[in-house]
Amino acid sequence: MAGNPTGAMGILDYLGWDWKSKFGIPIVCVPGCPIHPDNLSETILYLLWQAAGVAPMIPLDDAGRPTWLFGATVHEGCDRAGYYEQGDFANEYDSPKCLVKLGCWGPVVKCNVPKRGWTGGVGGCPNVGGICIGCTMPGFPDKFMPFMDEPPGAKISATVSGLYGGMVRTLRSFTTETVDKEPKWRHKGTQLTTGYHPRS
Amino acid sequence: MAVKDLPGTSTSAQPSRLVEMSWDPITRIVGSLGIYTKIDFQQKKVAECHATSSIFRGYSIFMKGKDPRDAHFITSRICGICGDNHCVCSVYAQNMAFGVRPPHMGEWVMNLGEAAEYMFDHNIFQENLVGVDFCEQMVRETNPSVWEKAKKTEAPHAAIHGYKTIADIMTSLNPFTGDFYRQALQISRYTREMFCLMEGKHVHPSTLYAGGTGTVATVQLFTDYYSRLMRYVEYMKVCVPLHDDLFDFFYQALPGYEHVGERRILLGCWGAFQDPDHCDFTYKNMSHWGRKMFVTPGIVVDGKLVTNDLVAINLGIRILLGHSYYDDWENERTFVPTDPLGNAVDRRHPWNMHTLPTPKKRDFANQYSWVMSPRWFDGKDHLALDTGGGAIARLWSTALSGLVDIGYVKATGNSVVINLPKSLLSGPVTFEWKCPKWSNAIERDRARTYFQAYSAACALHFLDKAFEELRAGRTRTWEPFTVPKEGIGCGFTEAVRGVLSHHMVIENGKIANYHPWPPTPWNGNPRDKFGTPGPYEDAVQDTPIFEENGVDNFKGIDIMRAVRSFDPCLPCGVHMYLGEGKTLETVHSPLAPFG
Repeated sequence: MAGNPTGAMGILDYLGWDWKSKFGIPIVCVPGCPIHPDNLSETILYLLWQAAGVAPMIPLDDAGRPTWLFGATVHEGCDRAGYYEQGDFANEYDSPKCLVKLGCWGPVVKCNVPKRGWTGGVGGCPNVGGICIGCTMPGFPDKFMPFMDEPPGAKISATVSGLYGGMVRTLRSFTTETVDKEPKWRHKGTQLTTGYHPRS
Repeated sequence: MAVKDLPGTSTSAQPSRLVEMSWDPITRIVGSLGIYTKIDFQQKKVAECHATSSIFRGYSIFMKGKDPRDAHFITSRICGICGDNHCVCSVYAQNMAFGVRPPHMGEWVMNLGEAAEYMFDHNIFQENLVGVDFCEQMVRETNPSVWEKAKKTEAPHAAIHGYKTIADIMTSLNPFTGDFYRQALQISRYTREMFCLMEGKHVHPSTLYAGGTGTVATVQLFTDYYSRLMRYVEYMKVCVPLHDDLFDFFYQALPGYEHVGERRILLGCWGAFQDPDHCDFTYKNMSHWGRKMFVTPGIVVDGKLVTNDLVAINLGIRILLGHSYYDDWENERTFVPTDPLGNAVDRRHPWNMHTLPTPKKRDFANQYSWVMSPRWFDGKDHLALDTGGGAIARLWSTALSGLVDIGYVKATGNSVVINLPKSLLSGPVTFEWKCPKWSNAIERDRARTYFQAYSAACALHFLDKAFEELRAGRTRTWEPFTVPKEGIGCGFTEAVRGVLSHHMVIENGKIANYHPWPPTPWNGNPRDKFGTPGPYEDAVQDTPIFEENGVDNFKGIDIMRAVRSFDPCLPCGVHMYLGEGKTLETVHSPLAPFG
């Protein structure tokens, strides 16, 4: 963080982002603050399989992250993304809606936490009411501070989404009204109006 | 562990043999704690002890100039075990500085999260880390005669917990193979789920903010918590008597064990769990809402309650230097000359301190640790309070104040009664934790198990209140606020291991000064400028040695039990120790008995 007196940095900052071991193995980065527990154990297990010769070289992106864990964004995995798509944004932190206007960086952060939850599928971040602060990204924390301010790009995208989404929500409400009602033939009485005609 | 004989030293009329022994870093705790002792093998006690911390990160330096609303996100990262306690403490300080009061439901959600934290953390530390010091493998290695006794001693509560003899209990605590050890790992899992339901992710919560939480309060949220809590309640009905049997056995089998890790009763507790009916987070009402906390704040000296007033507690905090790697700040500016009630605030108070690091080589006669020496000034003396690992101070303070009474828990003036309701496999059960005679290793460990039950009982109350709010339609958990240009705030809570405070000063809408004071500096600090040793140091000093091994295969188990009873938690680090030109690589191993 800016102003830190120790000059602390990550391993790849120190050794160089192209560093490889004697055996040609790169450094595997499993980011997260804290690290997601299952992400880490899964990666270690993968490396054990690799060491045992049954799995190929671990697939990593250009920041050394396992691709199957960090290939998608928070937004792509968030169960509130539907609110975003419908232009339905939270104005207060305890709303169940999309938190992008309140500081959530989900659309640009590579992380699978909303998709897998935190422990045993329970918990997470924006999916449970916590704005994403980008804690898996090399730019964390400075490039995301102050955390509770709307991210710069969000103003534009949220406005556009608001326009599109508002319209789509209205259209969907018509369809919802229709499918929220049962078919006409579910009624009491002696007359069967389902369209069934017995062969006489 | 390193060993060095010191020829020709003696501290009494009897010739003694002083051997220098050090454990740096200590395993089965968090972080870079080094304990350096001189052990008198003739007199069978520890003659001298120094505690050191070899890591510094500089939060109080880099927080300056940052947005105050970011404070809890950043300070949560102080610790990877109790980071959520820091987060909550920072939120409390922000609430005060911003003048915001969360909705009742927001407070219940936070209380439920913190209760889950104590239930989770104490469980894993007690059964998977401390328990190893009392397991069959360890006891066989260090006190074979005690193991023989344990095999022949029936466990008084065998009918409840199912372990026939004390030896059976010890076997169940063997690392990786013992069945109580393994069961504890499962419990770790679902208690952490309980935490995540409320605070999002562990250890750095995602859903906490100044003004409340982002957690959405629904029937599902509380039902998911409740179904897990009842499993824990069931477990505590077995856990408490099992530990009473084990700890009482140590007193019987080794008369004098009450002196292991013993120090003067000098305990501090800053309180936990706010009561939203009373807590408005204002400094001027802090004495009142502090007393309404469901763990009562208090300072206990020689078994008596000195105060339970958070304002008095706040004003008495002093940060002393002496043997730490820092320059003093006598000539620096004072940020807060008086508190909001007009009381004078000392230069050595966290609001006014400055962190000016001066890294150098360790020298026990001079500066030897990155930990400063917090003390509590009672008007006359600078008291070296300890937290005893957290639980013992919380229970003792709450017991003596006699204020908490929520049915599930009642403080009586000299004890705490815990009432656990009917559960799937058993009827209602009542436990009573009585203020013990000593502040020692065994009582700190015993209190930890009782506090697990206390937390579960409090959580039941918090659920009752949360359901009440839910059913009345009061589901808001967050209140809007604005950050002032100038302001001060302080947060007091209990990290798992004890007292935690965050003091913040805001100038021009940014953080001008920020000093967190977690429990381990209170416990693990070096000798201050008056020469008063820190709590680890004086608890270990004069500890009698009961271990049956001689110098050559000495494990220092009594010293380790004494140190671990404090649940030490320094920020994580791996340390390379160079002694006499020889490089020793220390490898972390959970099976410490074997190396």
